[in-house]
Amino acid sequence: MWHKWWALFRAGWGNALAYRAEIFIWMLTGTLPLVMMSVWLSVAGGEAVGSFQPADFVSYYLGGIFVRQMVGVWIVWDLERAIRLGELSPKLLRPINPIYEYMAENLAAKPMRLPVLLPLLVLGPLLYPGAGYELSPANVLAFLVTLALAWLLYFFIQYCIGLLAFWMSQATSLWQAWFHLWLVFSGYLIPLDLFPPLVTRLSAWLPFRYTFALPLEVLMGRLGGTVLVHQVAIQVAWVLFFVALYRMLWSRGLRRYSAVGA
Amino acid sequence: MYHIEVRHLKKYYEVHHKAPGFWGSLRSLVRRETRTVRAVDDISFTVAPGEIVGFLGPNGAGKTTTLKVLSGLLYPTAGEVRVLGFTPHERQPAFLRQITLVMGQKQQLLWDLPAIETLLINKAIYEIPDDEFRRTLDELTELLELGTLLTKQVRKLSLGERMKCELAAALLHRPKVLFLDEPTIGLDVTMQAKVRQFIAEYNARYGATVLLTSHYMADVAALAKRVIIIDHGHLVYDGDLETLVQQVAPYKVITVTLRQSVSPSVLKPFGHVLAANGVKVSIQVPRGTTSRVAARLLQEFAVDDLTIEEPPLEEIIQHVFTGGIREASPDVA
Amino acid sequence: MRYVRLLWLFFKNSLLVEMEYRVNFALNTLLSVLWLGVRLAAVLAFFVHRPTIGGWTLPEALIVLGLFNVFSGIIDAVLRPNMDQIVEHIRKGTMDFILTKPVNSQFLASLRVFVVWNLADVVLGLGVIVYALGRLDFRPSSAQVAVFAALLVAGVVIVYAFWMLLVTLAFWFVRVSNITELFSTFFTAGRFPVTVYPDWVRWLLTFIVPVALLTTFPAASLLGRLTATYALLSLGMAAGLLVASAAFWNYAVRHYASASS
Repeated sequence: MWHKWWALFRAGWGNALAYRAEIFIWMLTGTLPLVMMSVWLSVAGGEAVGSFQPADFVSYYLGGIFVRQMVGVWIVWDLERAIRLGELSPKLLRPINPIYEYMAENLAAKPMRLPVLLPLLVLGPLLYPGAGYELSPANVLAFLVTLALAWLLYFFIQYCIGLLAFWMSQATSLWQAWFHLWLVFSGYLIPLDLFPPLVTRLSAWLPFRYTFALPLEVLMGRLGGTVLVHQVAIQVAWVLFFVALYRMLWSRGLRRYSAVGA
Repeated sequence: MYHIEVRHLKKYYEVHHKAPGFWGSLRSLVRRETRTVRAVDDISFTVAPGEIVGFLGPNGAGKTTTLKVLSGLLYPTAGEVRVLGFTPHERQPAFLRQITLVMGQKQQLLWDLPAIETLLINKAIYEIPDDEFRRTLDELTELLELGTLLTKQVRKLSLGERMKCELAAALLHRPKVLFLDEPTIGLDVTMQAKVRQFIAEYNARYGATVLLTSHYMADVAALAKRVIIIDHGHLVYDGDLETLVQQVAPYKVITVTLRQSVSPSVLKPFGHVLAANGVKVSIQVPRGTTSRVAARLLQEFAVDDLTIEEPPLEEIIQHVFTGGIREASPDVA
Repeated sequence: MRYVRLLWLFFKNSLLVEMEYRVNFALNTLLSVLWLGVRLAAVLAFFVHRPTIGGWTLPEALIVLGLFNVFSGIIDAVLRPNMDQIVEHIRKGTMDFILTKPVNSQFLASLRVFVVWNLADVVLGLGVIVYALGRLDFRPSSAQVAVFAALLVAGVVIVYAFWMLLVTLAFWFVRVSNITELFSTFFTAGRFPVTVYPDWVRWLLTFIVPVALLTTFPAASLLGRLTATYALLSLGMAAGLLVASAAFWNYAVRHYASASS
């Protein structure tokens, strides 16, 4: 199994290398957090907004860029295309579930982003006094765990929506609709704590925040103790839910795919 | 006055090299290696108005590149090109109005719409008046047997039907010079013949000059009296197709069907035996002696059937590509 | 005149194509509404905590947001689909058909397809502007409306020309099809009045990537806050960028002609 993984990973890395310019540009386009940060700093005028000090906005949005890039998955278009045009067939002939291929490809492209992202995490706190992250070993571990789970959750949600292409031609549009909701309810645009309380409470029960805000808030040291455990439990529950959903969609979708003979 | 004049045309371009694999792509990050490709290397020829010229050569010989230079898509690296008195790459509207480019492997028709929509756009682009548009459309419909094809969605047409509509879209403005790059590629034999016939008729009716590349020798043999052969960017032959055949293949093939089979050795004195399948025998004989050999065959054997044929054109062209044209000449003498 | 007729034909054809996929209409409209919702949320969140941002009240900021919606609609309906088309033309070699037509090739290549449904964003954006003006109980003078209209047209020209400058790069970097996303990087800042940004960002968004000229300027003119100098700057930028984009396109076509085979 490791051997296969390594091969897939290498192929993914080669691919990522070939598309390095695109990846770089895509990273540059994720500037909305900087815009939001800038507006919050202006709005705050040196004073706290809700539970956020001005420096927290810097930590939050710069850390947010990092989390977003690490969690991000962009396979829905490929998957939809593969299903629609029958490009899935050759993948099905291989003795490995295509999902691993997509996973490996996505993961392999991550290290490419680090040289740009890590300086961001270091520079922000250096340039803006008071900004920074909670870097105790236990917290870093908690961050990495929640980050990995966030990626897994995001991946499976996107994969599930992509698999809908077995039944409908609008899977990518559906993904976009989901993504719009994600922008608001994940905390990506606005820290969830700064929403009216009703929205904040609602977001705690939706899957969105567990693909973004949770690891970010952990990194900032805003969560700890029982709250953290509780949150991770919900995160794991969502992951399990979407893995189960994936298995169901995949087996039914395949039956349909072979029946249609695309 | 020529329609097309090409003098010492050269077209070079650079390609990037990338070694395969992980390290290759990493290395190309740092340093890109380039290589100059001489797609066309010093070619000269002229084409008179109304002429149909077949442009032959193996893949990558520079045919398409030459066509692109002639239609104004590419700048020549060196040399002089005039089409209808214009310098193509200046792409003056007056020039573009009088030429057309058809590429068998690419399409200009809008995929999701009926072909007529593309025609209407071209009508607006070329500023074709209504009555002239209707007249040309009627003529093209008749020549190409378009019927109701134009109102069907392009993606629902077969390859051959699409090519017909493609030709209609390309010829709507009645260009004086046609550049046809593999117009029959991928079509079945009947459809190839139809397209061929259409090109011949268009040429006859409007006196248009046609420069045509094709993989199918039948296209060339049916349409072009004159062929230009290029290989590796060099001009290898320019002249009559007939003469080429005689020069390169100074022999014909006699195929006889005998009443009873004979040993090939008996046939040896008549010429080079190409194939002997039982009673059916093919013999290659020098051009000048063909009728004499045929007569002798008829005298000496009981013959059911006898045909005299030119050798296949593919073979001749192949012969030219492999440098046969220069070697062939001494053989004739 | 011929160009107007062609434009109409292209538009009609695009509409015909999209009629084929009618489900998209419903979905796209839904997406447009969702998008507007997201954008509104991002603005409203600030006003939960503060009465103004950068000196603009909520209804005033909504005019800027409405304009932002209008321009993103134009980008998605006109600029983006044509960019995809251009990249596709270059990749497949069908650019040859465009270059052999006796019409301005930039026009033919860049205004060929429209994703008509995305114009819903334009309509929604205008709706937001009208709503905001109603909230302000503000009736702009006819002169203000005229300046506003002129600036809006200038904005359309600016965004087209700027976008074309980026798209033209596709002649060199065929695979970097998302190069125009670089524009989005800055464009996204246009949803708020530029006065909320630090000086250097404001400067950048006015002179380098003229996003402010699309949204903040027309909004300010409507509210009577724009000086004549800035209005003229906008018009001048529009003219300058249009000329530059045409020059760059021609240069790219020449390059294409000399570097490919």
